[in-house]
Amino acid sequence: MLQIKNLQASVNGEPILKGVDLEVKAGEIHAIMGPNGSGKSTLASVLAGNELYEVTGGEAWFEGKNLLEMPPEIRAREGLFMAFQYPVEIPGVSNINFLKTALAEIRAHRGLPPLSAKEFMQRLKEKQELVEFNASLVNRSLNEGFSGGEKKRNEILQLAMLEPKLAILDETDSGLDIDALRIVANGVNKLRAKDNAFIIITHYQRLLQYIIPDYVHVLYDGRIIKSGTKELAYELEEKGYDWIKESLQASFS
Amino acid sequence: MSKSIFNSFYQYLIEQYEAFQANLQGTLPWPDALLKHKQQAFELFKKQGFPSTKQEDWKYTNLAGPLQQIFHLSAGNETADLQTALKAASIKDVQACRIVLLNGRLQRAYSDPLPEGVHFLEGAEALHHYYAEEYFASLADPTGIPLVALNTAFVPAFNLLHIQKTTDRPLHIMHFYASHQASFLPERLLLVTEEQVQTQIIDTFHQLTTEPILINYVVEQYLKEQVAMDIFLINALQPNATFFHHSETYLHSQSTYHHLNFSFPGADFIRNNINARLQGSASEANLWGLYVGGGHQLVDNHTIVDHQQPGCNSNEWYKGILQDKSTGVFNGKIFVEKGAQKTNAFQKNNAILLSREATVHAKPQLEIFADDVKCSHGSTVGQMNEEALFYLRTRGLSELTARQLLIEAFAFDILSKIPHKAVAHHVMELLRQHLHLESSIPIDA
Repeated sequence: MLQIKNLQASVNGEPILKGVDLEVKAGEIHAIMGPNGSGKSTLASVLAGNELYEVTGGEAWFEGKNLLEMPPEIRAREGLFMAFQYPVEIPGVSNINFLKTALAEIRAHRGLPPLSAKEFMQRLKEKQELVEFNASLVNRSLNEGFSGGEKKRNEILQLAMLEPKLAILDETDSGLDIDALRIVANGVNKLRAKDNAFIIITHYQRLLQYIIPDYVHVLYDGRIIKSGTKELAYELEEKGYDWIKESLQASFS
Repeated sequence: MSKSIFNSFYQYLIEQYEAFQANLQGTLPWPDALLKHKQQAFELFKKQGFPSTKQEDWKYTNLAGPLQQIFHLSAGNETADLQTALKAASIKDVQACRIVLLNGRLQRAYSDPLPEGVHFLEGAEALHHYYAEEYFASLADPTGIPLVALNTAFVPAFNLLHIQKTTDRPLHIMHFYASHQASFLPERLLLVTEEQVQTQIIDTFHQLTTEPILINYVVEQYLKEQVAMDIFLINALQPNATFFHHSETYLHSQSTYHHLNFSFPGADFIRNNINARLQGSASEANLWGLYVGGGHQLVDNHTIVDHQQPGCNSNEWYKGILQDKSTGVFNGKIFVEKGAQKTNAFQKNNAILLSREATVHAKPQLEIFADDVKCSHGSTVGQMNEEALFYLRTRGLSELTARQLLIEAFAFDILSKIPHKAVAHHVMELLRQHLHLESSIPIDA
């Protein structure tokens, strides 16, 4: 589904990603862990198409298409979704109209007619329950005045509504209390299927107790320096990132 | 540089005044009491000329450009077939009572019958009405306000709208303008609402011809006790129009006044003075505005909210969207006079620049002489929120749709103040027509 080869990117001329390789297949959940400043969020932003990040080398292919050539909206319509670490508050844009517009654009791209008002509302109700999202929030302006947890749940609600092939969760667990974390994780677990995939970017192993990844990768200084299964996450939690750094240095000396 | 402009248009007006007055006395003689105001206003104008950018209230609004040609005084008796224009200018799905004016004069044949208790007087009837002597040129005092002096001196007649009973549908005053040469079109309205009346007025402006026109529309309004009045001013004039508007409103106790001011690209030059004087206790004035600039347009909104009595509230919020090479000016004054305790006065203005060549000058001004008051003001100038734009695009919205959505969201704060769904829809349509987002460039790019 996604092939990343030697991906390099910089912000304001400063290199952040220094050659990332990653392959994600349908049905898989990949966790990307790493200390602060290792390039985790940059990777998510580059994949979503944020123009503040300049791709300086490498490739990214999504379902056989060159991802890096697509503007962000085409990536979304092709089935890529990013749940933001800091979802933007947009006063005056109603959550519900926004979802309707987004869904209609994505469906049109796939040659599907927009859902009828009734179908839309039915789907919304279903997905709201999935993330235990208060109905009154749906009628408010997009993320305006939402708590941190409500914003993150709204991201998962959008994910559920838009049904992407590949979802990237950028530090969705940050700032969540244990209840919100459980709700978000339950939502993702119910949405995972054999034809979709997830990349979960996180600093902590905490979320991975609820969402069990197939693979865990450690990103450090703009490169994936270690990959493994879920046990790697436990090891990291136990030994800390310094363990990785030390073992890295040891291998060079 | 002088504080005034004495250009060839000024010279023309000064030279024409005597003949203009003589003609007026022959056709529509003004009573002495009012004539006195006219004479005084002329003397003021003669002495002061047009204001230059050396005057604080005109610092960013240079009249030298728009007034470089001669706008001829008009005989004021133009006729036109308004049938088609009337249809085009009516607002869909609004059951309004239409009052149709051509160059400021009532066109009875095209107007709807007035509701009971509403009187629209013109000519001698207006001039000799008891309210004329009481309020004409005393609500909008020409002293110190050059464009009011100009209007008072040169307006051939004024209209008087007297509302004695609550109206069950809005009054839609449709201002049509036609001319066959560059023309100066002064227009004036005196509006008095009696106690406990509730009413809503829509003001729209339309050109029938393409010759340059200078509109100088002065409104004096007097709201008696417990009146509730809403004004919706919608300015979608075309190029070649220069629009000077001055609106002076006095509120008596427990009256509520909402003034909603919308302007769009079209008219080359717009200057609005929107003033509300809270003269009775527990009265409330709310001034909302949305201005969309385009082309080389200049849009200037100067407002005054004057708290004269205790326990009054005012809210003001102006929002501007500036495109192309347009310029926006916002100046909001709040006065809280000595003794106006328990005042709540809030003011906000926000502007968004959609082009690198657009400009906005914003200046809030608070002068508070009472100590038990709550006052605040806030002013922002920004550009399209790129972060929000990216967020929307990652959900599949095209860049254009996302921009449109964000601009509409920006405008929503003001649009949502319109209580009539159909009027709000009309204004939203105007907004959509006048935005050309595909050409807007982010400033940082």
